[in-house]
Amino acid sequence: MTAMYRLLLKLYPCRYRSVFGTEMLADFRDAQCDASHSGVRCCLVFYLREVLGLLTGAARERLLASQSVPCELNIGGTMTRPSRCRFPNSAIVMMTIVFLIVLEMIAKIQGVAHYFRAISVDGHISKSVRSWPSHYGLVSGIAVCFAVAWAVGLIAWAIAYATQRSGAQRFDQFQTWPQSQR
Amino acid sequence: MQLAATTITEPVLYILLSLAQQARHGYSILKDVGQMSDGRVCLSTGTLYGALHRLLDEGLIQRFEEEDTSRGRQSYQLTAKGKGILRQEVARMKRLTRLASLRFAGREA
Repeated sequence: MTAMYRLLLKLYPCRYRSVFGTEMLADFRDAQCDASHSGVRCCLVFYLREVLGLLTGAARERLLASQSVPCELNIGGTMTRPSRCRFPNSAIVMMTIVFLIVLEMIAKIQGVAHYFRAISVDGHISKSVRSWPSHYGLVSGIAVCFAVAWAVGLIAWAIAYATQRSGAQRFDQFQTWPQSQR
Repeated sequence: MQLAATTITEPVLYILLSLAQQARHGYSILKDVGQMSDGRVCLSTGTLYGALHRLLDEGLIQRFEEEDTSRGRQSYQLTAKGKGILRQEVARMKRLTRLASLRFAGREA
């Protein structure tokens, strides 16, 4: 569980982690030790509370960090690189994963609802629906999301490139009247 | 005195109350809050440190240098501003309690 806690800590901004990470981990270990002596139910409640606390805390800190100063920090890890953008790359990856999980859950729920609708009143299942259907798989969802992201990125890049080539970005530096005559 | 930008929620109030007595580190605050509220308010480490972060930013608490830092622990204590805000909040709650008592007494009479 400590490994999972460490993993969830990575969701926090690196500046926050460098200040509070060690303390949080030490406190978690002590609290875990206490909870393990209080029975299985207490232990489960404790883990659930910790996971939820970390997820909501990380989301809040990310939001605050993005609102306060541009992120110029090296977030670290294999999926990230030093960035001057306001949104760290790890946050984008995390949001994509969460979005895909939500899509997957919706698809599963729709599938289950479809399955139960197919059961007739006398309890027989119609021949067309023998298995629990799923409209989207996780892999196809990921593929669609990445394809859309690539397409949007490509269009944005094309627009930026065309603007740069046309010199339109220099219009804001263009003086319509000499400075001295104002 | 100026009000803090942090909303004094119940957990934040318990944290401030916990630090009013003495400087404490995170785990000690967790346990103290649990004891003060009879187990009603159970803070997770994520919630606790989120609150401590905001309180530090607003200057209501400060880090307190401990002699033994072998476990990577850091103690926190209330600042003068933090004490003022806490007193102000407690006075506000007292006024509210008094008002509620008066209103209930008026209704029962």
